[in-house]
Amino acid sequence: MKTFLSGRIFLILIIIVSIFVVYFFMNRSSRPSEISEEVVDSLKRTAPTVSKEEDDFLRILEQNAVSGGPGKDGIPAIEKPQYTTASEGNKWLQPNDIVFGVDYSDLVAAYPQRILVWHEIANETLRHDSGQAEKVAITYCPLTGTAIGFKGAIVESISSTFGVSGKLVNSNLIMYDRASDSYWPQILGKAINGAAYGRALEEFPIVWTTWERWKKKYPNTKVLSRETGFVRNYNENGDPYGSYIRDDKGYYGSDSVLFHPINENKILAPKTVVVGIRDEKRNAVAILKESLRRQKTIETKLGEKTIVVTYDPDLDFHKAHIKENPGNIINSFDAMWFAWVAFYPDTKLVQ
Amino acid sequence: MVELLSSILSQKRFFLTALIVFVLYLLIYLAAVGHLIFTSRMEQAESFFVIKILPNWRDLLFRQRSPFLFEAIGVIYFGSNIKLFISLPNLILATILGSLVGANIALSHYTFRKMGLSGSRGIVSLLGTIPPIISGTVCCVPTIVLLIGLQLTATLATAWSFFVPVSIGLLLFSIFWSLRKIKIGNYKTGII
Repeated sequence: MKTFLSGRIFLILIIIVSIFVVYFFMNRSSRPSEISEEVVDSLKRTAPTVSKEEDDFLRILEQNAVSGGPGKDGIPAIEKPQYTTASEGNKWLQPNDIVFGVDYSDLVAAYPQRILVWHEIANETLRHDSGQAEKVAITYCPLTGTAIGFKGAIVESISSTFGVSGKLVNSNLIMYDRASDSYWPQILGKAINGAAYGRALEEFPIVWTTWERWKKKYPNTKVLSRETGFVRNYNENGDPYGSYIRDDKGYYGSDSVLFHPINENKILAPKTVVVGIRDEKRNAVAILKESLRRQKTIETKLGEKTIVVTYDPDLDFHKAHIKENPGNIINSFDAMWFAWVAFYPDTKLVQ
Repeated sequence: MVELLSSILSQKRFFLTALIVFVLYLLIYLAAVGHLIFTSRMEQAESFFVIKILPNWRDLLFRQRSPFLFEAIGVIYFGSNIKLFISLPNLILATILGSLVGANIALSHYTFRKMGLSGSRGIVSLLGTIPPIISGTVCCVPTIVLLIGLQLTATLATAWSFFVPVSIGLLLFSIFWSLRKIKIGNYKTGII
């Protein structure tokens, strides 16, 4: 009887293992596809002209995309963000916790880094007074220290949400759009393959600041809730890469990078924070954030244009605009130097 | 083979060895993949034992985060400082791996006690237990890559996918090998 039972247990074990193996190979992507052929055809028909130089650049990025470990949507984007009040946020957020602040259209909200480190993208739909809905994505890449807001419109008539592809280039998050499955490295904000190849997404600013600073400036802010639809460790010590608060900063404070970047420049330590500004012609400027803190205002050239970057001490953040037209804001965001220079090797550096 | 394993594990001493190792491995594995969390900072707990299940648990039950790491569908809070993420496939995997590791150690214990054989081979066989522990991934990269500051290549990332099945294979092979050795030893010493 005993032998009979033991034999059965072994058999059951082998069957369970086989099921897992089969399941694994059959279900590499668990999210149903939302790609429509109509959308793909439409994007292909109206594809932008890409210069030879640009084409080479985008192809190199695509060829250097590597798997980070988790598969497509293995890092799940937050699809329907829930929010709480600031006073509710006070119960679990520390004053010096990093938050990504959004003040765009009628959305004023803080997205704690503790949550976005596990999701990297929050897809939100804004309802405008005109009745129109606008899809936007709040994105954060922990390995390159970049937070960028993207509008979901790939072209005027096609708007999409975004997911995490599981691939990285220069350690930077590669998003994919759910309308055409094209891949978009976050720092570039441009599609490197698929039907949207060569197109750029419109951006809106995201403020990298602390919870204390953000709620002081926006006392009525909403805060992204920990009810994300997923179970993750959103605790104070939950960031698997390290900490921006503790002395032991882990990945954020070390000089090592996890994936070999395409271009390197060791003039600064790899994780030095620079304010990155670029234009559609790939002109790029990196301003040492420490210098901006000291000088408050920096004027520099971005291609042919003169830009002015001003420091906001209340938020410890910055804004950039064209000198001749102060209303013409250009998106500027914090980035780790190694990642910025990997995408923009010809960047100007302001120290 | 199966009856030999069964007869060894039916002895209290070796069964206890297997059980202790099984429990320890289960805990280490769950902690390594980030599903068993010890929090230093107190969280508000309603009572000592609280279970919370996500409303969308059906969508997540078999959803993979990375190869052989599945989404949790809920949390069990043990007091204020311990959390266990509930993921059925992960618990099954952990049970399988824990059982195999437990059986391996129990067999090493047996060879050492009964046959005077060195336990070193048993320890070597435990190398097969390491891959699943380091197979856990965090956001973008495998945990161990962060811990030792390794630079990840495409080949290494691909190899990661096979850690768990390879490990199960190694452990099964190790059990088979140990049993074969015990059988030969028993035959020579006239135990059987």
